[in-house]
Amino acid sequence: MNIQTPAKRRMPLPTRIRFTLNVLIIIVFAAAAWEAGDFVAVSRYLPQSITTAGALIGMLLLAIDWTKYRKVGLLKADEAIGDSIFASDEDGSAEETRRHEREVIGRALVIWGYLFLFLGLIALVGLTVGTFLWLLIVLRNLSKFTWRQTLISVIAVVGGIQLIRSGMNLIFPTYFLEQWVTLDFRM
Amino acid sequence: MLETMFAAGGTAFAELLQPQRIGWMLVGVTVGLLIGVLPGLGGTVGMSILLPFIFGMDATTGIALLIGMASVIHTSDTFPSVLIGVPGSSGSQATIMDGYPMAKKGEGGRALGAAFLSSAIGGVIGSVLLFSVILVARPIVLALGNPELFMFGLLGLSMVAVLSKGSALAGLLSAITGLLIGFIGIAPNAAQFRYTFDSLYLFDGIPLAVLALGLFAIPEMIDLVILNRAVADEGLSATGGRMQGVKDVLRNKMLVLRSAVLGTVVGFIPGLGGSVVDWITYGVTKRTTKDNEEFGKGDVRGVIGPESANNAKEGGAMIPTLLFGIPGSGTTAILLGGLILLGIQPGPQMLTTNLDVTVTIIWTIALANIFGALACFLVTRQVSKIAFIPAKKMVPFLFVVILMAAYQSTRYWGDFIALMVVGVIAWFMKSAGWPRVPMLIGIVLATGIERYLHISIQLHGFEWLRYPGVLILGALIVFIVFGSEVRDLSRAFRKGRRTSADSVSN
Repeated sequence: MNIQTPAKRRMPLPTRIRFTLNVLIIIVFAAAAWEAGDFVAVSRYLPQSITTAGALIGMLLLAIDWTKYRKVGLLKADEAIGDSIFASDEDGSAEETRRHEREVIGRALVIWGYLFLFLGLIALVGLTVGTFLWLLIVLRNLSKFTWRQTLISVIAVVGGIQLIRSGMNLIFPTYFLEQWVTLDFRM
Repeated sequence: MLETMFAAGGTAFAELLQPQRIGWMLVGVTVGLLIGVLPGLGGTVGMSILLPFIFGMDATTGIALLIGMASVIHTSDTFPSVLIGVPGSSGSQATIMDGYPMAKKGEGGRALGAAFLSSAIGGVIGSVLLFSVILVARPIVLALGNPELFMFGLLGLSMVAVLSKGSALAGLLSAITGLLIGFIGIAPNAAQFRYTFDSLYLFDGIPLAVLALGLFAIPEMIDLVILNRAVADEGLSATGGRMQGVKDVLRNKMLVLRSAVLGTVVGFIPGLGGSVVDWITYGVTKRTTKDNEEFGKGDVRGVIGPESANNAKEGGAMIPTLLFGIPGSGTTAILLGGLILLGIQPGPQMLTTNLDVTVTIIWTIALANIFGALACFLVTRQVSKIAFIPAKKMVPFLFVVILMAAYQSTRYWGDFIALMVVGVIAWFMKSAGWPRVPMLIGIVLATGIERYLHISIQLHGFEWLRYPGVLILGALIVFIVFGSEVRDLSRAFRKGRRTSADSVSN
């Protein structure tokens, strides 16, 4: 008979993220407390005491979370982590859970990829043309708009941001091609 | 003096109602409503836009334009907070706590209806309080020293105890992380750059708008697209629900009044008001309300409280601005410049020679709040349908707005980089059930707390710990942090006594 004890079961992804964040935060606080040692006295005492306290609380939290995980599992013990996008049906098998997590990671990577692509386009051709190109790609591929809907939406958005830019005197970011050609026209 | 005040009130009202002036006020209201709807843009941007237009205007018209805009930003900023879970401005962060869950339940219209009516009432109460206390406000404001301001900062921080969903320890750690982020940049008490790593962008710290968008907007948008669903659950209808919201406000009259008074009081504390008033009100509302189990899951009282307070705050914020020339926020700093451009010198003369100007400001706040709420109320039914648009069709447009708004914070590429870094970390935090609200409170309060603590120690040593104001605020903090535990304990104790008494009688 193969009985999975809590200690041997696979750690769910939200729990792993929680522990990783916790360890990272302890390291960040320890480094920040160390760095604060170089500040002049009047601007040192609060950051140093706060970050030291943060590192200690971080360790305490890590210990408490670890105990909870060993006893019942964090997903059951903590309502907030149970709401995680990675948390799957409790009754699902380990294989189902893994599949759900992989699926969510895949989708997340695609969306983060789109976001970083947008930033890349802004860096290359500016906000106006970047928005035009990015919306064209995203609305067709992610939103599944028809060509007609895509073009109408893209023109409306680019026109809208130009109007807001002129009306509110907003400044748009610099971009790489700016040194050769002006792509960030304004109305 | 009181008679003079009422006479000035009548004259100022008649002046303001002239078609040209009311027209400019409506222009200001329209600009304010538009800015409120756009996440990340706040009063500072609005003031900067309108300031060039006041050249050549008479004082009443110029004030109508500027104050009309500033008064309604916290009315329309409720739309993004409720419908997409993105703070429209720093004053509507707490509205997300219950407004967004209500939208998820298909009650976006109800949340908005309640928010707009409580905003209007809060704004009017704020201006009435401003009118009532302005004559006696000077000594009250002067009585608030640095120790009391430090305690107000701690009071804001104590809200962490109320707002930490799940683990209080995780909430505390999150708030401390926020304080650490708030320490980035130049120290408030010495020429010392901290945690900047020689990056020019970090010298002034990371802007609040970028942090708020990164912490809340990006993770929410990403998750919605991953789940491939709309904000509101499928199967719910986009019923208006506005009138239900109105009824909710009428049922909670005392909450509106209490929150508006609290908003006005917090508003007149320079350097504290703006971003923290809604959190304080939310925390106090939750702590002092019976049957508060639904808070954070879509309780309309969690919308009514902060929304009454953030509009009322504008009235309070005028007290230090007008009487002392101390701007409590970026918006009032530019307003101060505007008043000087109009030939008005803030100071004690605002109660004597410039009394008519002061009363005009009060009337403008009241009227703008009514007009603003009315305009928002009229479009609620249509706008609340946004919550039913599938995320994949809506989110790309929101990303454009979010990136454009974030860049306006400092207009450096660092805004984009900070937004993405904070966004990624916040998404992992959300995925791991780590509370993000306390972090934002820590960020907002870090500079103020450090500044006031430093000055308090420099001026008074540790004597200030025995000041009456400090002790009162300390007791309030203890009540907020441990209030419900004490209530639960006493309830358990009473129940225990009753049970033992019953068993003895049997």
